[in-house]
Amino acid sequence: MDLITELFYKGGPFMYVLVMAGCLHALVVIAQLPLCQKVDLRPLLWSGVIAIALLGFLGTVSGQIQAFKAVGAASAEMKQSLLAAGISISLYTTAFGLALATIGAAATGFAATVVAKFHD
Amino acid sequence: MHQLTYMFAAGGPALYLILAAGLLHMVLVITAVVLAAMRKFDLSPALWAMVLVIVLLGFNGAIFGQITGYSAIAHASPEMKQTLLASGISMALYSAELSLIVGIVAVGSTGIASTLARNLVPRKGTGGAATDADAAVDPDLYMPE
Repeated sequence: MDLITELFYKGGPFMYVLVMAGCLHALVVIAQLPLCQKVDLRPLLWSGVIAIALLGFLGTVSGQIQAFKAVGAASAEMKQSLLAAGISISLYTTAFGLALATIGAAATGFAATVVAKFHD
Repeated sequence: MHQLTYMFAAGGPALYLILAAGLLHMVLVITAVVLAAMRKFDLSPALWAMVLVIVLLGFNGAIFGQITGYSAIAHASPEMKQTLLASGISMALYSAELSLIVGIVAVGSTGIASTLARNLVPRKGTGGAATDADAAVDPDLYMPE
């Protein structure tokens, strides 16, 4: 539990956006299963997985921009520690985004297999 | 607004290319939705290709920015190297950031447009999306417009 709290504390606002995107994707997956005979939501599901992974990368890039900006303005002895701290923090969003996208891809693969029986 | 102006000034020409690609993608999405609603044509492959182009343009911009940054460092004095490197990389990352923002919007809209096309445009060979004729055979497969 402490690990999750630390992860959210260090990862910044992008972690919350990622959680929301993951929940939305899970809802669409759950909605697709009972509706698999009527509608084919596979493109929407796969685009959700890609969007989650891209959100993770966006968090990293934004974090790195902030870190490098701070380093540019810092004193010589503070540069290295600021850069290391900034980059380690920014990588948390990538790790979390990739973990969510992996779970999303597995769920989408399962839903897509079920839908394929009726639409392909 | 000031930050956006700074971003475009610092990020270089790649940002304008990404913005142009994003606008072109938006036009394609609108066209795809209209064509899908008319049950005429599925533009999904073109939409996905444009998404890929947007993301790749961003990474290209980041790489070119870093090349420029590192080249400048080679000619700088030792005490200026770190500052130059840091500001060069932060500038180079702007194109990656913009391409990811535009890319996420593009992925979402492409997902919606291609879901519509998949469910509305009849496909060759597979029987495609359900039509009025299908409804006469199997009412469960009929999808009202």
